[in-house]
Amino acid sequence: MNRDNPERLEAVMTPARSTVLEIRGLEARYGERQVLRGIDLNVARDDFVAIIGPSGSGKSTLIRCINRLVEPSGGKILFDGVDLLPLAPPALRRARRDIGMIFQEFNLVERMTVLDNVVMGRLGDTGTLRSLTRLWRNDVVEEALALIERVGLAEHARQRADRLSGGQRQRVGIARALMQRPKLLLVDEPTSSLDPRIARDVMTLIREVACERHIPVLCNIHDIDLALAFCTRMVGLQHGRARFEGQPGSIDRASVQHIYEAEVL
Amino acid sequence: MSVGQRTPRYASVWLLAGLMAFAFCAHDILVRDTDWARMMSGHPWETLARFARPDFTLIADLLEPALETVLMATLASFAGLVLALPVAWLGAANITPFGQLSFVLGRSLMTVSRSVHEMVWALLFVSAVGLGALPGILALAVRSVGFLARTMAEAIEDVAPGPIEAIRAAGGSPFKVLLFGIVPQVLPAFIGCVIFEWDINIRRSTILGLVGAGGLGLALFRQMARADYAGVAAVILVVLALILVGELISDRARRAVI
Repeated sequence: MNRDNPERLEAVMTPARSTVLEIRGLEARYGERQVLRGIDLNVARDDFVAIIGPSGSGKSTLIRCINRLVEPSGGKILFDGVDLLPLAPPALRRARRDIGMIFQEFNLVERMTVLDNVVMGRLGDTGTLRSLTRLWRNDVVEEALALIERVGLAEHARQRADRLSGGQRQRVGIARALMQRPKLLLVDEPTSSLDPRIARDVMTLIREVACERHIPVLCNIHDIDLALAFCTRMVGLQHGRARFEGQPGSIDRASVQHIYEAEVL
Repeated sequence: MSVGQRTPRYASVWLLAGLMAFAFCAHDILVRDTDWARMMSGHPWETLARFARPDFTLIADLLEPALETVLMATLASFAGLVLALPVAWLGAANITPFGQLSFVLGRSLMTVSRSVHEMVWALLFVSAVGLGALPGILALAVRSVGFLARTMAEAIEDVAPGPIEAIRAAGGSPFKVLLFGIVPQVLPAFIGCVIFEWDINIRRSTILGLVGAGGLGLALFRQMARADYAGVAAVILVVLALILVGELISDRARRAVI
């Protein structure tokens, strides 16, 4: 078991200085059903961590526990040295501003323009009056337009989000997350709603923008080949427990197969 | 005993019972209650014939009441929207503030609004605030709450959770979740509902004048009281034209929104 690996135990005891996220003994349950059973995980500044595992293994819950879209039932989540679990709503909202999130179904406001959707990444810092009138600050709009250009949608900035294709919408989702100037990116199955070629483009874009800005990424991904191609570290989840962890090169194919076998059965 | 043996016998019993009930109703209501002497004379046909020749000279005088009717319907639809917002909030299962209690309260208010006829609401408000357009507007507004609040509550319940999750994840307050996660999703449905209700309120307001609540209904009532059937026919024509125009506008407007 990985827990007994002395090298890793040491890493747990003395996390590197660049550690952004430190998860300790994280547990979550939906009613009677225990979904996460004590997860330990570190994410450092230049990490691209892929969480793989069959559906129902708790990947999505794990990622949603970090910004408390799902309330964990136990453990610790140290983000930037602060435990997020005891935070009251206003403090939690401030912490969430530093954590960008990219979703499987993009989660855009369909009837608003690409630009408005991207600016929404800055909603946490936007006053009520500005929100009501949608009179965004000029510098915020400039920054949003620059991000829209970076993700390759410059000519679509004023179009409504529901006019875009799936791959384009996910690019809007990426720009919105970057608009937060996040210290961490949570990415939940970014490619499951896209066809394979677009999926690679989207993964490439996420890795590029993360590298440019030195933002660590924690990414749920069902597709092992994509995970192997893009991540710097991999965590295999099964039944709410981490079954293995390591660099893509050191991962034993058989153990990957093993955690997915349960799904077939 | 199989079903096949029982069905024909039961069917004939029910058929017989139904026929007897129908015969009883027809006899009691139609045969005994009708003025047969009048029916046998030429009178009904003569009267109907008088309706067939509308008094077009009246049309010019009907424009103002027609405008009043439209204004009543418009104001009533706005007032209905304002009243319906909190009721929809109470009656939408996913955002109702005090659980089952407020949900049932919201749904009950919708039912009360819908199950009392607009004429009854009008009578109520006429006796409360006197004659004129105001009681008509109040009656239509209250009557509109049922439909408006119900369709709005359903729109709120059908909201996609994705954008809401995204705004929460970005650190948005509950108010911003409402403003950017819920409002853009329900707004087209809300506007569509109000336009639809406006169209219906034009119809309703044409009749409210009968109980003294202004508009074309009042004109209709006056012609009726004078037994001026040609005048009545003219009012009915204007009502018809108004409803057609209202329907046309409402249809166009709703298409533009959705």
